[in-house]
Amino acid sequence: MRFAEEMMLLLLDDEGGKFRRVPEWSLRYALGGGVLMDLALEDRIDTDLESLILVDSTPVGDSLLDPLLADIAADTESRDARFWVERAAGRASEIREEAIARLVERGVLERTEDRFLWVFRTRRYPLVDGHAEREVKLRIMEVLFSDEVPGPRDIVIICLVDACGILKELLSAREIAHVTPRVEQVRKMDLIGRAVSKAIWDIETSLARAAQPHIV
Amino acid sequence: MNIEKITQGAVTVFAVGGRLDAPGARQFREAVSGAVGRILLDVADVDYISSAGLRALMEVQRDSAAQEEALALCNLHPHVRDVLKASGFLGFLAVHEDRASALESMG
Repeated sequence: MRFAEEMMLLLLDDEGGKFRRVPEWSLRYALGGGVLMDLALEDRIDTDLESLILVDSTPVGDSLLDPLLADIAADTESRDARFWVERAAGRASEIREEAIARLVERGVLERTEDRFLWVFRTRRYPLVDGHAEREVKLRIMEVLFSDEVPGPRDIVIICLVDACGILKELLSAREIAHVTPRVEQVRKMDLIGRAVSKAIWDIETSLARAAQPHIV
Repeated sequence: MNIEKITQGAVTVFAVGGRLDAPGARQFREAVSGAVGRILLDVADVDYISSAGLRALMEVQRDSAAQEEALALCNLHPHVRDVLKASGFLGFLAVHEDRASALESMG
């Protein structure tokens, strides 16, 4: 399962079959970052503190990943991970829709349509098979509540859920306080994850400044 | 990437040289996988590490932890040390100044 699919599963409110609301910009960056991270784990790209490097332009054979890989392969400039996180975030709506469609196709979710006030159509995605969702939540909890060296996929999913605020939906305030140092530790470990967090942080800071212009 | 394997007492030393980038990381994993017991990575001749190199280090560290064996690094190039520090890896890895002090510490 790709990170975008795992993210959408974690965003799902099991009771109502609706996706929880998180800030739009943070979800866009997290979904875009997730695609880059999948490309890194597929050995197509690599990163260091300064740049993102194409390792292998051979398509993965996955329509979630290959459009961005083709963009990176076609680019002639040296760019950093932040540039590509922002570029990938521009495709977030397509990534989201494809991730949901895959979850429906796999039989994890079901797509249903209701009418609100007999007029407005609303879409819900009730969970059909909870196994994948439980597995990803368990992976996150195992890393957060231990001091073991996390695996590469665990690091990525923690970067992503932290970046778009999903952790608050998974844990109580008390648990969040307990795991915050661990989250800080783990989220630094992936260089693309760092670029995602920094991009979201910059937007939040600029929004806070716009709301309170006296803050420098 | 050059990787030399040396047994020094109870410790297997891998003297690693070159770039620990995506191709280097693959070679590194192949060379180190299957090693048992205490492992010392002497990275004196590694002057570059990327995300792929960090992942390879992490996997080796996880393998060692699963076997309840020690893993340590020594002779870090300043750039490699900077990347390990920025990514928080220094919190997970035992790092020594040089091979002699590492071997003494690892027994």
